[in-house]
Amino acid sequence: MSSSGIPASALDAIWARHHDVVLARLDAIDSGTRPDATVEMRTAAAGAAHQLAGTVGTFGFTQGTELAQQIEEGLRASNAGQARLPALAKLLRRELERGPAA
Amino acid sequence: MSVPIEALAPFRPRLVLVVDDSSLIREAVTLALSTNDGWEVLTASSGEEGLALAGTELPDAILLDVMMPGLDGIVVAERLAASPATRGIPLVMLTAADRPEDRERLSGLAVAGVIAKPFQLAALSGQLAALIGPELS
Repeated sequence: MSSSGIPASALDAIWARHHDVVLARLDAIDSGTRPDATVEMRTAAAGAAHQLAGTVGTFGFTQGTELAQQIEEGLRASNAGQARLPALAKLLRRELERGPAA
Repeated sequence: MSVPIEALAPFRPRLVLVVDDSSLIREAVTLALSTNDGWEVLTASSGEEGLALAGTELPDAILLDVMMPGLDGIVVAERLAASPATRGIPLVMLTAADRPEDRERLSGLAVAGVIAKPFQLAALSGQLAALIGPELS
């Protein structure tokens, strides 16, 4: 049981059940942040980043939220800062693959 | 000495409808609120499903995601407000984006409050209770 009264094991189980969904969103972000990504791929990646930005912080991934927000903003913006998006995507994947921290 | 009638009424958890296209969020919110004795949770994965459930179940409150595919949370809120059956249900909006266009659309709605995503699960029950106020029945 966590200090919040919410069983940590139950939270871990939810995260584990949705691991494939999280991986699929990370894959969409990888595809959409490549230099040769199409508009559709970028739009899908921005949607995936938005979903992760609104979700992963609830499971304790504070840095994951910030990275996902930066990626979403970068994808929705014009060309400024596009070159750093693949690196941000790599950092986000590394953060989320380490497991829940809540 | 008389006992107020409400003191004799059986305890009834408040029913909350959670409308969010993210199954991670739906499950996490259900876990957080179910851990607290004061809530019973019903979920919907889309605005369309949320509207239907709100009309049939008449929950005590609705937690409604703003950005969803199909009917987004703001359209759902407008339709709930337009229906005599559901217009009195307190609405709490969940939003991950602090976008000016959303703020402007939200400002035109009679919502009980807004909870920013990501939120702390441990604080959610208290936040929700504070926003929708005490039970009147």
